[in-house]
Parts: sequence; C-alpha cells; structure tokens
Amino acid sequence: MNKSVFNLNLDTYSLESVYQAAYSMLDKLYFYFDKRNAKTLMVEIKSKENLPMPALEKLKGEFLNELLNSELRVSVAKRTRKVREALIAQALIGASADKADYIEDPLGIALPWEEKYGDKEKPQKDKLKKAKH
Amino acid sequence: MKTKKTKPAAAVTEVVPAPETGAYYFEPMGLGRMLVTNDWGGWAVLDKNEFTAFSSGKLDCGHPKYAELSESGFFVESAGFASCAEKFANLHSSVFAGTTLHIMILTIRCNQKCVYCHASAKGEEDKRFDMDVETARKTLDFIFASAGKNLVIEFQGGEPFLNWETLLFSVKYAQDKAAKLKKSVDFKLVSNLSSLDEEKLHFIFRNNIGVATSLDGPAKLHDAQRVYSRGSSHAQVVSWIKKFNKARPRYLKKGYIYRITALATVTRQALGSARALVDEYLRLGLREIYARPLNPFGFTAANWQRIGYGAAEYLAFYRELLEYLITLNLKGVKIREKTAQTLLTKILSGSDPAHMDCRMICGAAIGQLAYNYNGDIYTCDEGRMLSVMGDESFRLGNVADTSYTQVLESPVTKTLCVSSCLESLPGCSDCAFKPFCGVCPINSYFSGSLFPQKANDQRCMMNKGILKIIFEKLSRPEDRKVLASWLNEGWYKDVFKK
Amino acid sequence: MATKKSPKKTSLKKLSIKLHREIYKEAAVKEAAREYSALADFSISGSGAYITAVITPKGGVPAERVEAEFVNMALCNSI
Repeated sequence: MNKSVFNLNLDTYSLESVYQAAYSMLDKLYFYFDKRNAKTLMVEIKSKENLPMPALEKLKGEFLNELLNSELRVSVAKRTRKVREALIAQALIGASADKADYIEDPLGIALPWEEKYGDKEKPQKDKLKKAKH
Repeated sequence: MKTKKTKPAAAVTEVVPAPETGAYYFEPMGLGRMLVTNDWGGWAVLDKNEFTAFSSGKLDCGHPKYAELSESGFFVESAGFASCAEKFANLHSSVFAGTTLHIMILTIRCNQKCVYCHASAKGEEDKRFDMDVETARKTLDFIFASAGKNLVIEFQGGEPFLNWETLLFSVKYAQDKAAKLKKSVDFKLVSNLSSLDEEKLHFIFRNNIGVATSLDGPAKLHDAQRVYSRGSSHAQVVSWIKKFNKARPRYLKKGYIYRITALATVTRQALGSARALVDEYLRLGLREIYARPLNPFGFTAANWQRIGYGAAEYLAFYRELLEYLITLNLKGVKIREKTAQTLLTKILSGSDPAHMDCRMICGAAIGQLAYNYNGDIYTCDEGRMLSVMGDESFRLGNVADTSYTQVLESPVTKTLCVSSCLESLPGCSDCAFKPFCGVCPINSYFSGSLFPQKANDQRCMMNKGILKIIFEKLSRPEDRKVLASWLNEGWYKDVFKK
Repeated sequence: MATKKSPKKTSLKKLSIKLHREIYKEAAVKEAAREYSALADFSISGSGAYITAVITPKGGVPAERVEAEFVNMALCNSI
C-alpha cells in the first residue's frame, strides 16, 4: 500500500483537533500516529482503496484542511464551553437547576400517571432507587 | 484681511470592537460557502469572506450580515442568556415530554409478503401470532400508567386489521381509560388496506383513527415489492385510498381530522423513479410523500444484495425527488415531502416535531415503547424488529410483570440514551447539523457498534446529506418560500373542499 | 506423468505494532482487539511509552489490512 508520512507540530495543532480531523476521514484513510518528540506528531496515512501517490497526496491535503477546521472547532468549543453548559443546564432543569438530577426526577417523567394525578389527596412521589453502575 | 486657515481638529474615531461570537458549528457547503449553526437552532449560510470575518472575530455591527447573525444568536452580547435557553428547550421539547408514542403490534400475521418487511411478517393463517384481548388490556393498562398526558397509540403489525376483534376492544378500552384518567389519546394505524371493508372504514372515521399506508410507486414497482397472493396489492391500496377520500368529507363535518397518508419504501429498484413516484401520489390526490430509505431489519437483511444501496445513491434519489417537488410547488401544485417537513420544523420554526429518531436523545423507551403481540415490551419498533430476527437485546419485559418505572430504570434504556446523546458522541458533538439531527442507536448496533465510526456510518451520511440538500435549497429565496409553506398546517386544505 | 503440486501453505505472518500511550489509550486498544477477534488473535502488552500489539491473522483478510483497520479502531475508541 502507498503511504504518506509527515509531521505535525503540536504547538500548532492540538491532539484533540488531530483526533477530530482523522475521525472525519476514517472512511478514506488508515491512520497511524506516533510521537517523535514532545512537540512533534508523526502521521502516516494510507488510502483504503490503495490509491496511487498523487491521489493519496490529495487526500493528505484534504486531511490538513480538515485539521484547520478542527482546530477552529476546538478553539470555539474551549472558549464557549462554560456558557454552553450553563445554558443547557438552564434549559434542561429550569428553576431547580441547582440540585435536581435524574434521580430526583424533577419533571416527574418516571412517575406513574395514577400516582401523580390519581384520586389521592396528595400525590406521593415515587423515590427512584439509585442506579447501579 | 486674510483669515488664517486653521487645520480642522483630527476627527476622534471611536474604535468599536467587533462583537464576540458565541458557540457555533460550521460545515462547508461547496462553492466557498459555509453553513454556521448554534445550539439554539440559529443558522446562516456565509460566503468565504463573511465566514473569514466571522470566525476571526472581525464581523462588526456595520457588516451586512450582522443583523441576521445577531438575530440568530451568534453573538454573545445580543444573544440573551434566557432567550437562548428557552430556544434550546423548545427545539428539544419532546425530550421532556415522557413516553407518549405507544406502538401496539396487534398481530405479526400479514396477507402480503414485502421484500423489505421489517416485521418479518408471518403467514395470514397462523393466529398464534395475534395479540389476544387480555394481553391488549394489560398493554393498555401499562400505557396509561406512563407519564405522558397526551398519548399516541399506533396499531401496527403485520397487518393490524387481521386482528379485528382486538382492535375493536383496544380502541374502546383506551377511550374509556383516557376519559377516566383525563388524558388525551390519538389513534394511528398502519395498514396495507387490502383487508379493509366498509365496516372497518367507517370504524376508522367514527373513532378518529389516522391511517397510514404504503404506496411504493406505480403498479409495476409496488406489486413487485409488495407481493399479494390475491392479486395486485397496488390495485387494493389505490381502491381504498379513493374510497377513503370519497367518504372523508362527510366525516370532516363530524370532527374527523386526518388525511390518509402514504409512505414509499425506497428500494434499489425505485432509485431511478423519483418523478414517477411523485406523479403516482398526485394522481391519487395525496399531497404528502414520505420517501423512506430502507432500514436494515427483517427481510431487508436477507434481500440486501438485490434491493439495497448506499447513502450516495439514496441522496441522488432524494435530491431529484425534492427538486421535482419544489418545481411542482412553484407551478402551484401543492405536495410536500415528510422528512423535509420534519427537519424544516426544527430549522425554520425552532420547534420539536417529536420525531423519535430526530432528537438530541433518541426516543427509545423515554419517548416511545413497542408492545409485541405477546405483551413483550421493547424500547421501540426497531427493538421489536430485532427480536423477530432472534436478538432480544432491547426487550424490557412484559406487560404482565413489568412496571413503567422498571422500564425507565432498565440498563438497556440508559444505554440507548447514552449512545444516542448527540452532545457526547464523537462526530455528532461538534457537527453543524447537530441541532436538527438524531441517531438511531439500534441502527448503529445492528451495523456493528453502538458507537459507530461516523465517517463509515451510512445513516449518518444520509442524514447529513439530506440536511445539506435542504440548507442548500433554503439559500435560494424561491425554494425557501416553497419549503417554508410546507410548515403551514392548512396548506393543502383546498384539496378537500366541502 | 503429471506431478501433483503440493498445496501452498497460507501465510499467517505475525505483525507487531507499537502504539504511543499518549495517542492510543490501552483500554481503547484492547477494545479494538476484541472487536477484530474474528479476524485475528491479538496479544496486547507493553510498558513505558508504548503499547505493543502482536497481530496473528486467522486468514481470509490480508494481514496489513487487519492491522490498519485495528489501528483505526483503536484511534476511534481513544477519542
């Protein structure tokens, strides 16, 4: 199989973005990574369809482009992580954002209907057992 | 006397920094364009210069695209924390609604043999595979114990009309329970229509049951893939669609709300016939078409060599179908595509169409349950389909001895939640289509892994491909107008003038 | 008289590959080995900076292909 070997500078590209870019091209390429030193990642790629070298070099170019995209995604995600988490928490559990989790079931999703809305004077909340891991 | 000319004072220009972008995702759309999206359903298509300015933090308030991006929540200052949280909740509201869709398999007997039957239907005569009345009662007791207030009970098979006795009982019993418990219940029924008669037809109307059937295209194609021992299955479905439409106006006055809907299961043989398929639907007065790709279950698995195809082939078909539909709409012929309508509900109106495998967490168990003819409970219809193939991995229990709480606490339920949560899946968590997409983890499981490599996942390719085509069309004002009209509920009422 | 050719012995060459621990997680490598156990026997070992995987194909699929798919899967599982 033809292969292309090149290095990436880990000061320029995070390992996370390398993972992302490679993951998105697993249908076209076989990847092998090694660390030459603390700052250098060795990348070896082979095409799944055993393409000739010019075509493989083109795929390498696609991978490097995708790496840039991934680096941007990682950067945006890092910068905005806390705001996203706060927003989604707010949306998911509303007013009881501080303490509620799925065990407490603040929306009563796991509560049988009759127990919640039946003829009893006060609905009794069904305590869920702790999930076994 | 000459006045001394003085230099004007240097203008003081205030440098206003470009607004900071919030969280966003992006996907190349070809021709240098980039789709940008965010978690609260905002989206825009930017050209190369616009995206460069946006992503480098240089798109200022004076930029032509600023207003659109600001309104869609792409900038931190103008997005509004509470507003974004509310939009996120609306976009995913079905996740919080509890188990609302309940699929009752009244029988797995059938009077047709379809090449792609996902139920692996049995022969018409073997009544061992019917749900008896007592099992139906227990099933409905279980259904009404679930948390959802507004329930949908969908009768399926096999061919559900073959178990007429249990269908009659189930509808009556469910109506009585709903009244007693102050819940609402909508009935749906999926049928090939070939065992309908006048009594059954009027039962459907009187009890407000929505009917969905299969129409795979013109007679030659339909009959070849939906084999009916007593003749043409196409002739049967056409005949009963016409009778339904003829009788419907009378029942509209009495409160019947549904139009008969049809779906086409696309096999390899249908890939070159997108236009013929649409024309057949129009001929029968059907104004909605659901061109469903093959799922891998049941008879499809055995027949794959003959009828199967890859994502690229389906997407070529889908593009042709959608473009033809848009062309027709522009000429005043109203017909829409169901997958597009589902996705557009999220994209254009920011609300949740409650489609079980188009959610941020799949609806398996937490949004829907399937009850087999023998009372066995499955996470969803796909879980039930796997059971007929010999894999009981998604069986949650039986209505005779399993509670709703046990179903939700099951490790199987939790596994499906984890393996379908887009926020945590590689390939999904940073995908531009994440706000509008969903994963079927059972499909993934059947293909080899609950956590498939997305680049190799045909279903992911299909979902992405369809969304790309839709966003491409939305970028063209004329096409966007057509697609937006597909969200109007009464958009084809004129077809059924009283 | 025609001589009878003796059947070719199928080559089941072992392949050994070293996977850097900072890139490939050991649990991910072991999981990939399990997923490809139908195609090859795997021996996962190693200390220090590298995990060593020795791959003995069972036949049917070229050894280099099994190795390449296995390493892709190990990467995928490591994400």
